[in-house]
Amino acid sequence: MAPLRMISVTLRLGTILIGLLFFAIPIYASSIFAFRESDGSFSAQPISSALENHELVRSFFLTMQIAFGTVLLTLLLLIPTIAYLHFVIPGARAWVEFLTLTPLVIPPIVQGVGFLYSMPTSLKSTPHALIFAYTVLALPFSYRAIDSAFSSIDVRTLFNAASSLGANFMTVVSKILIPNVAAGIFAAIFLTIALVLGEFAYASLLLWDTFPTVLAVAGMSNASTAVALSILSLIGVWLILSALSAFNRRSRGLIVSGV
Amino acid sequence: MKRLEFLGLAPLIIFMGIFLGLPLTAIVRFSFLNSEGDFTLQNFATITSGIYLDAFLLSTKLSLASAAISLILGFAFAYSLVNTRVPLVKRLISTASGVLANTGGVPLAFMFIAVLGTYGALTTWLKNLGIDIYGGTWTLYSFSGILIVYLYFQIPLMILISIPVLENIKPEWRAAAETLGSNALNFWRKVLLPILFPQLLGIFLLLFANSFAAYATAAALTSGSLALVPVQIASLIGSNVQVDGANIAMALGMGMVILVGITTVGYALLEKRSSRWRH
Repeated sequence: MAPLRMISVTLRLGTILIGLLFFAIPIYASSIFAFRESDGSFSAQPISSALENHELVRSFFLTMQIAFGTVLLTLLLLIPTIAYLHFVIPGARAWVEFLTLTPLVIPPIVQGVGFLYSMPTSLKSTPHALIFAYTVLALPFSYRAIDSAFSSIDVRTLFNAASSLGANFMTVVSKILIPNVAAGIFAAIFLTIALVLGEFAYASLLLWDTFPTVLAVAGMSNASTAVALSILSLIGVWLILSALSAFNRRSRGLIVSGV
Repeated sequence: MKRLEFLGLAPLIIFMGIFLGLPLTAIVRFSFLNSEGDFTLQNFATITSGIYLDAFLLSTKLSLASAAISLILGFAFAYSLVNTRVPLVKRLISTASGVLANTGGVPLAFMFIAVLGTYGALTTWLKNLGIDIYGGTWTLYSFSGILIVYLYFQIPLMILISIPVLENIKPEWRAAAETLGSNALNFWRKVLLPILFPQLLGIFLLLFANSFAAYATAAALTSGSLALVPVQIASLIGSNVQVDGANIAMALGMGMVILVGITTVGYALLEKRSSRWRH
């Protein structure tokens, strides 16, 4: 049995090593491409030229605004709805969960075309309307994150316990409910931000200059700047996610994709 | 009284009705119209022939290949990861996977131009070693090139999905099998794979759907030269060259919704079926 164990451990470590290389090679190689001068020295030139590109800087702040708006709308829409579902009509939960999964079935590019051909001009004339679109795109992930946090606590018992000790509704919500579901809310916030920072289909169809669309155009003219920004944006989002997952280990299982 | 309780769901349902329901209605309606607004089935005849049929075939081929490869590699990697006793590596990889699977898109495309493009870092190294990957007909912008890039958001997605699946494998299963005299190989073949099979099939469908719907990577990498379905939709909407272009785009969109819909429902059913093993 012992040699078999050895083989299995070696195989496992080997797989992990290959996996780490799988992630590390493109990041390392593209960093070299972006930051190394022809004489072999390293420079931050691509970053400084990105900062001088006003369009790029503006698109970054626009995307940040949209991300903030999307997070705000998502939380305003979902926290009361999910709390209500758990308090009042828990029987409808499966049904609502199914409903919130429907955006997954409609690819972003298709939703974008539909948006373009169904929304009034007033909504199509401001990039901030993307907040509505992105809230829908993020819904399958944000809903599940918050809902599973609510499922992991006994909302009714906590509510009754706090009420019997004299807490009013707002106190229960702010002191009992929110802290207990904070992990799920953080997961939802992260997923939403990650989605908004990477969303390309909607923004390019509606011709808005968000960070990903401007990055795509910048890549045509200045490759090393685009590569540098690509690496930085991935690492930036990764740092935020690592901080969040260090803050709460349980949120790890909630991360699902939507490219 | 019972009816009134559902009023609390009104904000979410109205919101989804406007921002998902209306766009979807527009897609369905316009796909059955020509540019003059008359009813026609011509759009569906158009998308099931010629370049649009080719686009569906290409998208299907790319999605099948990327789903199959990422299923196997992602599973092997996640399995090793779950059984390792280094929580830092585990956390590092699962967060990195979260980023690649969610934010990938455009950044991934540019990273790969820097790695495997004509002047990419890896291309240059290999050339210095005497291996010229651009010596033949291969380019990063060909089918196999874009497949490599797709793997960088598909494998991370597979890792994310399969970690919870693998964490549900009970040590008792192995213990029971070993007590009955089974070796590791038999345990895998006769116990683990039959249990995991429906779930893995479901995950395969999800990976397929994810790849089929992806647009950003292909758009940024090939500027629309690799004619996948999403790329065709965007170029039909972006230009006015094609007669009934927007309507054909809507019909293509319907085709995507149906294909992705079928695979996602398949995933949900298989997931439900296998959930009885997780108590």
